[in-house]
Amino acid sequence: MDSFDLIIFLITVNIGFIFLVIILFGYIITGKIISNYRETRKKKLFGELEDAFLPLIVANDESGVQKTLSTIGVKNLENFIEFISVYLSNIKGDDFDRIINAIYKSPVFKILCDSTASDDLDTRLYSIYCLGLLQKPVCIDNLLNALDDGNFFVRMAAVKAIAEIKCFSALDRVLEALAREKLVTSYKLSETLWSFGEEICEPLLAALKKRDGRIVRIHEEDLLTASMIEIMGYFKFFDAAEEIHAVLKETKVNLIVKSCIYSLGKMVYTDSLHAVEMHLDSRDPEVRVSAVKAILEFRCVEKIDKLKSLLNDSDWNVRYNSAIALYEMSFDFQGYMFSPELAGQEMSMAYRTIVHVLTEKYTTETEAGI
Amino acid sequence: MLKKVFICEDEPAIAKLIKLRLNADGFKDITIFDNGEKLCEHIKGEKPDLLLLDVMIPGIDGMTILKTLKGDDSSKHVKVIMLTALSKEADIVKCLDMGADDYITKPFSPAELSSRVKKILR
Repeated sequence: MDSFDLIIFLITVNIGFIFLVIILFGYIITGKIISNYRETRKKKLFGELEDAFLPLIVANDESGVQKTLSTIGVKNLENFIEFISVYLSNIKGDDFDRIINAIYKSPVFKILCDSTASDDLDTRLYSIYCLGLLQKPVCIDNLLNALDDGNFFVRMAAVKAIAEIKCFSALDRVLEALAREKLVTSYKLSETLWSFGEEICEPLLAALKKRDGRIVRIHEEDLLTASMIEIMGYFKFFDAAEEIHAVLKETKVNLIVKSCIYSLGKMVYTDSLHAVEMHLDSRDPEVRVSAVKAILEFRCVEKIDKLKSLLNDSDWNVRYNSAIALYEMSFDFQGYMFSPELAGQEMSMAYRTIVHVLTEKYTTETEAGI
Repeated sequence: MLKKVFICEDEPAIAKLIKLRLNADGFKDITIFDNGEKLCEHIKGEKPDLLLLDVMIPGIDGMTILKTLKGDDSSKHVKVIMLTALSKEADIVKCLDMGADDYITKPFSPAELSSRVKKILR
Protein backbone atom coordinates (compact mmCIF):
# COMPACT_ATOMS: atom_id res chain seq x y z
CA MET A 1 0.00 0.00 0.00
CA ASP A 2 1.58 3.34 -1.08
CA SER A 3 1.03 6.64 0.70
CA PHE A 4 -1.80 7.70 -1.67
CA ASP A 5 -3.77 4.56 -0.87
CA LEU A 6 -3.18 5.13 2.83
CA ILE A 7 -4.55 8.68 2.61
CA ILE A 8 -7.65 7.44 0.73
CA PHE A 9 -8.11 4.73 3.34
CA LEU A 10 -7.87 7.21 6.24
CA ILE A 11 -10.28 9.65 4.56
CA THR A 12 -12.80 6.81 4.00
CA VAL A 13 -12.53 5.71 7.61
CA ASN A 14 -13.00 9.29 8.83
CA ILE A 15 -16.02 9.89 6.60
CA GLY A 16 -17.49 6.62 7.78
CA PHE A 17 -16.93 7.63 11.38
CA ILE A 18 -18.53 11.05 10.84
CA PHE A 19 -21.58 9.37 9.23
CA LEU A 20 -21.80 7.01 12.17
CA VAL A 21 -21.76 9.92 14.65
CA ILE A 22 -24.39 11.79 12.59
CA ILE A 23 -26.63 8.68 12.53
CA LEU A 24 -26.18 8.23 16.27
CA PHE A 25 -27.06 11.86 17.01
CA GLY A 26 -29.99 11.67 14.61
CA TYR A 27 -31.25 8.59 16.43
CA ILE A 28 -30.97 10.25 19.85
CA ILE A 29 -32.61 13.50 18.70
CA THR A 30 -35.44 11.67 16.89
CA GLY A 31 -36.03 9.59 20.03
CA LYS A 32 -36.21 12.75 22.13
CA ILE A 33 -38.62 14.42 19.68
CA ILE A 34 -40.90 11.35 19.64
CA SER A 35 -40.83 11.06 23.42
CA ASN A 36 -41.57 14.79 23.84
CA TYR A 37 -44.40 14.51 21.34
CA ARG A 38 -45.89 11.56 23.24
CA GLU A 39 -45.51 13.39 26.55
CA THR A 40 -47.19 16.52 25.13
CA ARG A 41 -49.99 14.43 23.66
CA LYS A 42 -50.45 12.67 26.99
CA LYS A 43 -50.51 15.98 28.91
CA LYS A 44 -53.03 17.41 26.44
CA LEU A 45 -55.25 14.35 26.79
CA PHE A 46 -54.96 14.43 30.59
CA GLY A 47 -55.88 18.13 30.56
CA GLU A 48 -58.92 17.46 28.39
CA LEU A 49 -59.98 14.54 30.55
CA GLU A 50 -59.55 16.57 33.72
CA ASP A 51 -61.57 19.43 32.26
CA ALA A 52 -64.30 16.95 31.44
CA PHE A 53 -64.23 14.71 34.50
CA LEU A 54 -63.69 17.17 37.35
CA PRO A 55 -66.90 19.14 36.68
CA LEU A 56 -68.70 15.79 36.38
CA ILE A 57 -67.50 14.77 39.81
CA VAL A 58 -68.13 18.15 41.38
CA ALA A 59 -71.25 19.38 39.60
CA ASN A 60 -72.70 16.22 38.04
CA ASP A 61 -72.35 17.61 34.52
CA GLU A 62 -72.27 14.75 32.03
CA SER A 63 -72.29 16.52 28.67
CA GLY A 64 -68.59 17.48 28.62
CA VAL A 65 -67.54 14.00 29.62
CA GLN A 66 -69.43 12.31 26.82
CA LYS A 67 -67.90 14.72 24.32
CA THR A 68 -64.36 14.04 25.52
CA LEU A 69 -64.86 10.32 25.81
CA SER A 70 -66.02 10.16 22.21
CA THR A 71 -62.53 11.28 21.16
CA ILE A 72 -60.75 8.43 22.96
CA GLY A 73 -59.60 5.80 20.53
CA VAL A 74 -57.48 2.66 20.85
CA LYS A 75 -54.33 4.81 20.50
CA ASN A 76 -55.22 6.78 23.60
CA LEU A 77 -56.39 3.79 25.58
CA GLU A 78 -53.18 3.40 27.59
CA ASN A 79 -53.16 7.06 28.66
CA PHE A 80 -56.88 7.05 29.34
CA ILE A 81 -56.56 4.04 31.64
CA GLU A 82 -53.63 5.64 33.46
CA PHE A 83 -55.72 8.77 34.01
CA ILE A 84 -58.91 7.07 35.07
CA SER A 85 -57.16 4.60 37.41
CA VAL A 86 -56.01 7.49 39.62
CA TYR A 87 -59.59 8.62 40.16
CA LEU A 88 -61.14 5.20 40.45
CA SER A 89 -58.62 4.11 43.07
CA ASN A 90 -58.91 7.32 45.12
CA ILE A 91 -62.59 8.14 45.24
CA LYS A 92 -65.76 6.31 46.20
CA GLY A 93 -69.45 6.92 46.64
CA ASP A 94 -71.71 8.71 44.17
CA ASP A 95 -68.77 10.35 42.42
CA PHE A 96 -67.22 6.96 41.71
CA ASP A 97 -70.54 5.67 40.33
CA ARG A 98 -70.94 8.75 38.12
CA ILE A 99 -67.53 8.19 36.50
CA ILE A 100 -68.24 4.50 35.95
CA ASN A 101 -71.63 5.20 34.40
CA ALA A 102 -70.28 7.96 32.16
CA ILE A 103 -67.65 5.60 30.76
CA TYR A 104 -70.19 2.79 30.45
CA LYS A 105 -72.53 4.98 28.40
CA SER A 106 -69.75 6.21 26.11
CA PRO A 107 -68.14 4.54 23.06
CA VAL A 108 -65.04 3.93 25.20
CA PHE A 109 -66.70 0.97 26.87
CA LYS A 110 -67.10 -0.88 23.55
CA ILE A 111 -63.50 -0.03 22.64
CA LEU A 112 -62.38 -1.53 25.95
CA CYS A 113 -64.41 -4.70 25.38
CA ASP A 114 -63.14 -5.12 21.81
CA SER A 115 -59.56 -4.41 22.91
CA THR A 116 -59.50 -7.54 25.08
CA ALA A 117 -58.95 -9.42 21.81
CA SER A 118 -56.45 -6.95 20.32
CA ASP A 119 -53.28 -8.18 18.61
CA ASP A 120 -51.26 -5.90 20.87
CA LEU A 121 -50.41 -7.42 24.26
CA ASP A 122 -50.35 -4.10 26.16
CA THR A 123 -53.73 -3.08 24.77
CA ARG A 124 -55.22 -6.42 25.87
CA LEU A 125 -53.76 -6.04 29.35
CA TYR A 126 -54.82 -2.40 29.78
CA SER A 127 -58.36 -2.97 28.59
CA ILE A 128 -58.86 -6.01 30.84
CA TYR A 129 -57.46 -4.11 33.82
CA CYS A 130 -59.84 -1.22 33.15
CA LEU A 131 -62.87 -3.48 32.71
CA GLY A 132 -62.06 -4.90 36.16
CA LEU A 133 -62.07 -1.35 37.57
CA LEU A 134 -65.38 -0.54 35.89
CA GLN A 135 -67.04 -3.65 37.38
CA LYS A 136 -69.76 -3.96 34.73
CA PRO A 137 -70.89 -7.61 34.32
CA VAL A 138 -71.92 -6.95 30.72
CA CYS A 139 -68.29 -7.43 29.58
CA ILE A 140 -68.05 -10.87 31.15
CA ASP A 141 -68.02 -12.75 27.81
CA ASN A 142 -64.98 -10.76 26.67
CA LEU A 143 -63.21 -11.59 29.92
CA LEU A 144 -64.14 -15.27 29.72
CA ASN A 145 -62.66 -15.38 26.22
CA ALA A 146 -59.49 -13.77 27.62
CA LEU A 147 -59.15 -16.76 29.98
CA ASP A 148 -58.05 -18.72 26.88
CA ASP A 149 -55.53 -16.06 25.78
CA GLY A 150 -52.09 -17.29 24.75
CA ASN A 151 -50.37 -15.02 27.26
CA PHE A 152 -50.19 -15.92 30.96
CA PHE A 153 -50.41 -12.31 32.18
CA VAL A 154 -53.52 -11.64 30.10
CA ARG A 155 -55.16 -14.78 31.48
CA MET A 156 -54.34 -13.79 35.06
CA ALA A 157 -55.55 -10.21 34.44
CA ALA A 158 -58.84 -11.65 33.15
CA VAL A 159 -59.22 -13.82 36.25
CA LYS A 160 -58.59 -10.78 38.45
CA ALA A 161 -61.08 -8.64 36.47
CA ILE A 162 -63.79 -11.32 36.75
CA ALA A 163 -63.11 -11.41 40.49
CA GLU A 164 -63.36 -7.59 40.71
CA ILE A 165 -66.72 -7.76 38.91
CA LYS A 166 -67.72 -10.46 41.42
CA CYS A 167 -69.26 -12.61 38.72
CA PHE A 168 -69.93 -15.75 40.74
CA SER A 169 -71.64 -17.47 37.80
CA ALA A 170 -68.19 -17.56 36.15
CA LEU A 171 -66.51 -19.10 39.20
CA ASP A 172 -66.30 -22.59 37.69
CA ARG A 173 -64.56 -21.19 34.60
CA VAL A 174 -62.19 -19.19 36.82
CA LEU A 175 -61.33 -22.24 38.94
CA GLU A 176 -60.76 -24.31 35.78
CA ALA A 177 -58.47 -21.61 34.41
CA LEU A 178 -56.55 -21.34 37.66
CA ALA A 179 -56.15 -25.12 37.88
CA ARG A 180 -54.75 -25.16 34.33
CA GLU A 181 -52.07 -22.61 35.23
CA LYS A 182 -50.28 -25.03 37.59
CA LEU A 183 -48.97 -22.13 39.68
CA VAL A 184 -46.21 -22.96 42.09
CA THR A 185 -47.28 -20.71 44.95
CA SER A 186 -50.72 -20.23 46.45
CA TYR A 187 -50.23 -16.47 46.82
CA LYS A 188 -51.66 -15.55 43.41
CA LEU A 189 -54.52 -18.01 43.80
CA SER A 190 -55.51 -16.73 47.24
CA GLU A 191 -55.21 -13.11 46.11
CA THR A 192 -57.48 -13.80 43.14
CA LEU A 193 -60.11 -15.65 45.12
CA TRP A 194 -59.95 -12.99 47.84
CA SER A 195 -60.80 -10.31 45.23
CA PHE A 196 -64.27 -11.85 44.89
CA GLY A 197 -64.93 -10.81 48.49
CA GLU A 198 -66.66 -12.61 51.33
CA GLU A 199 -69.58 -13.71 49.14
CA ILE A 200 -67.31 -16.18 47.39
CA CYS A 201 -67.37 -18.60 50.34
CA GLU A 202 -70.70 -20.24 49.62
CA PRO A 203 -70.07 -20.96 45.91
CA LEU A 204 -66.53 -21.94 46.80
CA LEU A 205 -67.77 -24.56 49.25
CA ALA A 206 -70.21 -25.85 46.62
CA ALA A 207 -67.42 -26.01 44.04
CA LEU A 208 -65.13 -27.78 46.48
CA LYS A 209 -67.76 -30.42 47.22
CA LYS A 210 -68.44 -30.90 43.51
CA ARG A 211 -64.73 -31.19 42.86
CA ASP A 212 -63.76 -33.72 45.49
CA GLY A 213 -66.76 -34.77 47.49
CA ARG A 214 -65.41 -34.96 50.99
CA ILE A 215 -62.10 -36.58 50.18
CA VAL A 216 -59.24 -34.51 48.87
CA ARG A 217 -57.18 -36.54 46.43
CA ILE A 218 -53.56 -35.98 45.49
CA HIS A 219 -53.73 -34.32 42.11
CA GLU A 220 -52.34 -31.31 40.33
CA GLU A 221 -55.04 -29.06 41.76
CA ASP A 222 -53.89 -29.42 45.38
CA LEU A 223 -52.65 -25.85 45.50
CA LEU A 224 -56.00 -24.58 44.28
CA THR A 225 -57.92 -26.76 46.75
CA ALA A 226 -55.68 -25.49 49.56
CA SER A 227 -56.28 -21.87 48.54
CA MET A 228 -60.05 -22.45 48.38
CA ILE A 229 -60.01 -23.85 51.91
CA GLU A 230 -57.81 -21.01 53.19
CA ILE A 231 -60.06 -18.32 51.74
CA MET A 232 -63.06 -19.78 53.58
CA GLY A 233 -60.98 -19.64 56.75
CA TYR A 234 -59.83 -16.09 56.04
CA PHE A 235 -63.45 -14.95 55.79
CA LYS A 236 -64.39 -17.09 58.84
CA PHE A 237 -67.06 -18.93 56.83
CA PHE A 238 -68.31 -21.12 59.65
CA ASP A 239 -70.74 -23.07 57.42
CA ALA A 240 -67.71 -24.84 55.94
CA ALA A 241 -66.15 -25.76 59.29
CA GLU A 242 -67.63 -29.26 59.54
CA GLU A 243 -66.67 -30.04 55.94
CA ILE A 244 -63.11 -28.82 56.43
CA HIS A 245 -62.85 -30.76 59.68
CA ALA A 246 -63.84 -33.90 57.78
CA VAL A 247 -61.25 -33.17 55.10
CA LEU A 248 -58.56 -32.71 57.76
CA LYS A 249 -59.36 -36.10 59.27
CA GLU A 250 -59.16 -37.85 55.90
CA THR A 251 -56.37 -36.18 53.93
CA LYS A 252 -52.73 -37.21 53.99
CA VAL A 253 -51.57 -34.26 51.84
CA ASN A 254 -49.57 -31.83 54.01
CA LEU A 255 -50.55 -28.83 51.87
CA ILE A 256 -54.23 -29.55 52.47
CA VAL A 257 -53.62 -30.37 56.14
CA LYS A 258 -52.00 -26.94 56.61
CA SER A 259 -54.83 -25.09 54.89
CA CYS A 260 -57.49 -27.00 56.88
CA ILE A 261 -55.77 -26.26 60.19
CA TYR A 262 -55.36 -22.60 59.22
CA SER A 263 -59.07 -22.29 58.39
CA LEU A 264 -60.32 -24.18 61.43
CA GLY A 265 -58.12 -21.98 63.62
CA LYS A 266 -59.47 -18.79 62.01
CA MET A 267 -63.04 -20.04 62.47
CA VAL A 268 -62.19 -20.97 66.09
CA TYR A 269 -63.86 -24.32 65.42
CA THR A 270 -62.90 -25.95 68.71
CA ASP A 271 -64.69 -29.22 67.79
CA SER A 272 -61.67 -29.88 65.59
CA LEU A 273 -59.20 -29.58 68.51
CA HIS A 274 -58.43 -33.29 68.57
CA ALA A 275 -57.75 -33.44 64.82
CA VAL A 276 -55.61 -30.31 65.03
CA GLU A 277 -53.54 -31.27 68.08
CA MET A 278 -52.49 -34.55 66.42
CA HIS A 279 -50.55 -32.45 63.93
CA LEU A 280 -48.44 -30.82 66.65
CA ASP A 281 -46.28 -33.95 66.18
CA SER A 282 -46.30 -33.85 62.37
CA ARG A 283 -43.01 -34.55 60.61
CA ASP A 284 -43.53 -31.42 58.49
CA PRO A 285 -42.47 -28.30 60.49
CA GLU A 286 -44.89 -26.11 58.50
CA VAL A 287 -47.77 -28.31 59.60
CA ARG A 288 -46.55 -28.11 63.22
CA VAL A 289 -46.46 -24.29 62.92
CA SER A 290 -50.03 -24.14 61.59
CA ALA A 291 -51.21 -26.43 64.42
CA VAL A 292 -49.52 -24.20 67.03
CA LYS A 293 -51.20 -21.13 65.52
CA ALA A 294 -54.60 -22.85 65.60
CA ILE A 295 -54.10 -23.84 69.25
CA LEU A 296 -53.47 -20.15 69.96
CA GLU A 297 -56.66 -19.17 68.08
CA PHE A 298 -58.55 -21.72 70.24
CA ARG A 299 -56.86 -20.24 73.38
CA CYS A 300 -56.50 -23.84 74.47
CA VAL A 301 -54.70 -23.58 77.82
CA GLU A 302 -54.86 -27.39 78.21
CA LYS A 303 -52.18 -27.60 75.53
CA ILE A 304 -49.70 -25.36 77.36
CA ASP A 305 -47.53 -28.35 78.35
CA LYS A 306 -47.34 -29.43 74.72
CA LEU A 307 -46.42 -25.89 73.63
CA LYS A 308 -43.72 -25.83 76.32
CA SER A 309 -42.21 -28.98 74.88
CA LEU A 310 -42.26 -27.40 71.40
CA LEU A 311 -39.97 -24.64 72.68
CA ASN A 312 -37.23 -27.23 72.15
CA ASP A 313 -38.38 -28.20 68.64
CA SER A 314 -35.68 -28.66 66.00
CA ASP A 315 -37.34 -26.03 63.76
CA TRP A 316 -36.94 -22.34 64.63
CA ASN A 317 -40.39 -21.37 63.32
CA VAL A 318 -42.08 -23.96 65.50
CA ARG A 319 -40.13 -22.77 68.57
CA TYR A 320 -40.88 -19.12 67.77
CA ASN A 321 -44.63 -19.64 67.21
CA SER A 322 -44.90 -21.79 70.33
CA ALA A 323 -43.29 -19.01 72.38
CA ILE A 324 -45.65 -16.46 70.81
CA ALA A 325 -48.66 -18.68 71.60
CA LEU A 326 -47.51 -19.10 75.22
CA TYR A 327 -46.93 -15.36 75.55
CA GLU A 328 -50.40 -14.57 74.19
CA MET A 329 -51.87 -17.06 76.68
CA SER A 330 -50.12 -15.13 79.51
CA PHE A 331 -47.71 -17.96 80.28
CA ASP A 332 -45.30 -17.32 83.17
CA PHE A 333 -41.97 -17.49 81.31
CA GLN A 334 -39.95 -16.27 84.29
CA GLY A 335 -41.24 -19.00 86.58
CA TYR A 336 -40.72 -21.55 83.83
CA MET A 337 -37.12 -20.58 83.07
CA PHE A 338 -36.08 -20.74 86.71
CA SER A 339 -38.08 -23.82 87.62
CA PRO A 340 -35.94 -26.46 89.39
CA GLU A 341 -37.44 -29.29 87.30
CA LEU A 342 -35.53 -27.99 84.24
CA ALA A 343 -32.17 -28.06 86.04
CA GLY A 344 -29.65 -30.14 84.15
CA GLN A 345 -31.74 -30.25 80.93
CA GLU A 346 -30.48 -28.87 77.61
CA MET A 347 -32.69 -25.78 77.29
CA SER A 348 -30.50 -23.35 75.34
CA MET A 349 -32.74 -23.36 72.23
CA ALA A 350 -35.88 -22.80 74.29
CA TYR A 351 -34.29 -20.02 76.34
CA ARG A 352 -32.98 -18.25 73.24
CA THR A 353 -36.44 -18.35 71.67
CA ILE A 354 -38.11 -17.07 74.84
CA VAL A 355 -35.66 -14.18 75.15
CA HIS A 356 -36.13 -13.36 71.44
CA VAL A 357 -39.95 -13.26 71.74
CA LEU A 358 -39.94 -11.33 75.03
CA THR A 359 -37.56 -8.72 73.58
CA GLU A 360 -39.65 -8.45 70.42
CA LYS A 361 -42.88 -8.02 72.38
CA TYR A 362 -41.27 -5.55 74.81
CA THR A 363 -39.96 -3.43 71.89
CA THR A 364 -43.32 -3.44 70.09
CA GLU A 365 -45.28 -2.57 73.22
CA THR A 366 -42.83 0.19 74.21
CA GLU A 367 -43.07 1.74 70.75
CA ALA A 368 -46.86 1.59 70.89
CA GLY A 369 -46.77 3.24 74.32
CA ILE A 370 -48.53 0.33 76.05
CA MET B 1 -65.93 32.03 52.44
CA LEU B 2 -62.83 33.78 53.66
CA LYS B 3 -61.22 30.75 55.22
CA LYS B 4 -57.77 29.87 53.95
CA VAL B 5 -57.17 26.22 53.03
CA PHE B 6 -53.90 24.44 52.20
CA ILE B 7 -53.89 21.06 50.46
CA CYS B 8 -50.75 18.93 50.64
CA GLU B 9 -51.22 15.99 48.27
CA ASP B 10 -48.68 14.57 45.83
CA GLU B 11 -51.23 13.24 43.32
CA PRO B 12 -52.03 16.37 41.24
CA ALA B 13 -55.31 14.99 39.90
CA ILE B 14 -56.61 14.34 43.40
CA ALA B 15 -55.38 17.68 44.75
CA LYS B 16 -57.13 19.42 41.86
CA LEU B 17 -60.32 17.45 42.53
CA ILE B 18 -60.33 18.45 46.20
CA LYS B 19 -59.67 22.07 45.30
CA LEU B 20 -62.51 22.13 42.79
CA ARG B 21 -64.90 20.54 45.26
CA LEU B 22 -64.01 23.08 47.95
CA ASN B 23 -64.28 25.88 45.39
CA ALA B 24 -67.80 24.73 44.62
CA ASP B 25 -68.53 24.92 48.36
CA GLY B 26 -67.44 28.55 48.42
CA PHE B 27 -63.84 28.22 49.60
CA LYS B 28 -61.88 30.45 47.26
CA ASP B 29 -58.51 30.83 49.02
CA ILE B 30 -56.97 27.41 48.38
CA THR B 31 -53.30 26.61 47.82
CA ILE B 32 -51.94 23.23 46.70
CA PHE B 33 -48.53 21.82 47.73
CA ASP B 34 -47.16 18.64 46.18
CA ASN B 35 -44.53 17.92 48.84
CA GLY B 36 -43.87 18.40 52.53
CA GLU B 37 -40.85 20.65 52.20
CA LYS B 38 -42.67 23.27 50.11
CA LEU B 39 -45.54 23.26 52.59
CA CYS B 40 -43.24 23.66 55.62
CA GLU B 41 -41.38 26.50 53.95
CA HIS B 42 -44.61 28.33 53.09
CA ILE B 43 -46.36 27.74 56.39
CA LYS B 44 -43.61 29.60 58.28
CA GLY B 45 -44.87 32.84 56.76
CA GLU B 46 -48.54 32.16 56.16
CA LYS B 47 -50.84 30.03 58.33
CA PRO B 48 -54.00 28.50 56.89
CA ASP B 49 -57.26 27.95 58.77
CA LEU B 50 -57.33 24.36 57.56
CA LEU B 51 -54.71 21.97 56.23
CA LEU B 52 -55.67 18.85 54.30
CA LEU B 53 -52.58 16.72 54.71
CA ASP B 54 -51.76 13.42 53.01
CA VAL B 55 -49.82 11.06 55.31
CA MET B 56 -47.66 9.71 52.49
CA ILE B 57 -46.08 12.66 50.71
CA PRO B 58 -42.59 13.15 49.31
CA GLY B 59 -40.07 15.13 51.31
CA ILE B 60 -41.12 15.60 54.93
CA ASP B 61 -43.90 13.11 55.68
CA GLY B 62 -47.38 14.05 56.90
CA MET B 63 -46.89 12.77 60.45
CA THR B 64 -43.77 14.89 60.98
CA ILE B 65 -45.52 17.99 59.63
CA LEU B 66 -48.51 17.36 61.93
CA LYS B 67 -46.23 16.93 64.94
CA THR B 68 -44.34 20.14 64.12
CA LEU B 69 -47.53 22.14 63.56
CA LYS B 70 -49.27 20.98 66.69
CA GLY B 71 -46.13 21.38 68.78
CA ASP B 72 -45.62 25.03 67.83
CA ASP B 73 -47.63 27.72 69.65
CA SER B 74 -47.88 29.86 66.52
CA SER B 75 -49.44 27.08 64.44
CA LYS B 76 -51.25 24.75 66.82
CA HIS B 77 -54.56 26.50 66.11
CA VAL B 78 -54.43 25.33 62.47
CA LYS B 79 -57.09 22.67 61.90
CA VAL B 80 -55.70 19.54 60.24
CA ILE B 81 -57.53 16.81 58.36
CA MET B 82 -55.29 13.87 57.51
CA LEU B 83 -55.71 11.84 54.32
CA THR B 84 -54.67 8.23 54.90
CA ALA B 85 -54.87 4.84 53.20
CA LEU B 86 -57.80 2.78 54.45
CA SER B 87 -55.66 -0.16 55.56
CA LYS B 88 -53.39 1.86 57.83
CA GLU B 89 -55.47 1.83 61.01
CA ALA B 90 -52.36 2.40 63.13
CA ASP B 91 -51.70 5.60 61.16
CA ILE B 92 -55.20 6.88 61.93
CA VAL B 93 -54.79 6.32 65.67
CA LYS B 94 -51.35 7.93 65.58
CA CYS B 95 -52.68 10.96 63.67
CA LEU B 96 -55.49 11.54 66.15
CA ASP B 97 -53.13 11.08 69.09
CA MET B 98 -50.82 13.65 67.59
CA GLY B 99 -53.55 16.26 67.42
CA ALA B 100 -55.18 15.84 64.00
CA ASP B 101 -58.73 17.24 64.05
CA ASP B 102 -60.13 14.61 61.70
CA TYR B 103 -59.09 12.07 59.08
CA ILE B 104 -60.33 10.89 55.69
CA THR B 105 -59.44 7.45 54.40
CA LYS B 106 -58.69 6.83 50.74
CA PRO B 107 -60.59 6.00 48.61
CA PHE B 108 -62.72 8.91 49.79
CA SER B 109 -66.00 10.43 48.82
CA PRO B 110 -65.47 14.07 47.76
CA ALA B 111 -68.94 14.88 49.10
CA GLU B 112 -68.02 13.48 52.51
CA LEU B 113 -64.74 15.38 52.50
CA SER B 114 -66.60 18.56 51.75
CA SER B 115 -69.00 18.14 54.69
CA ARG B 116 -66.15 17.29 57.08
CA VAL B 117 -64.31 20.45 56.03
CA LYS B 118 -67.42 22.56 56.54
CA LYS B 119 -68.01 21.00 59.96
CA ILE B 120 -64.46 21.71 61.12
CA LEU B 121 -64.45 25.28 59.87
CA ARG B 122 -67.93 26.08 61.18
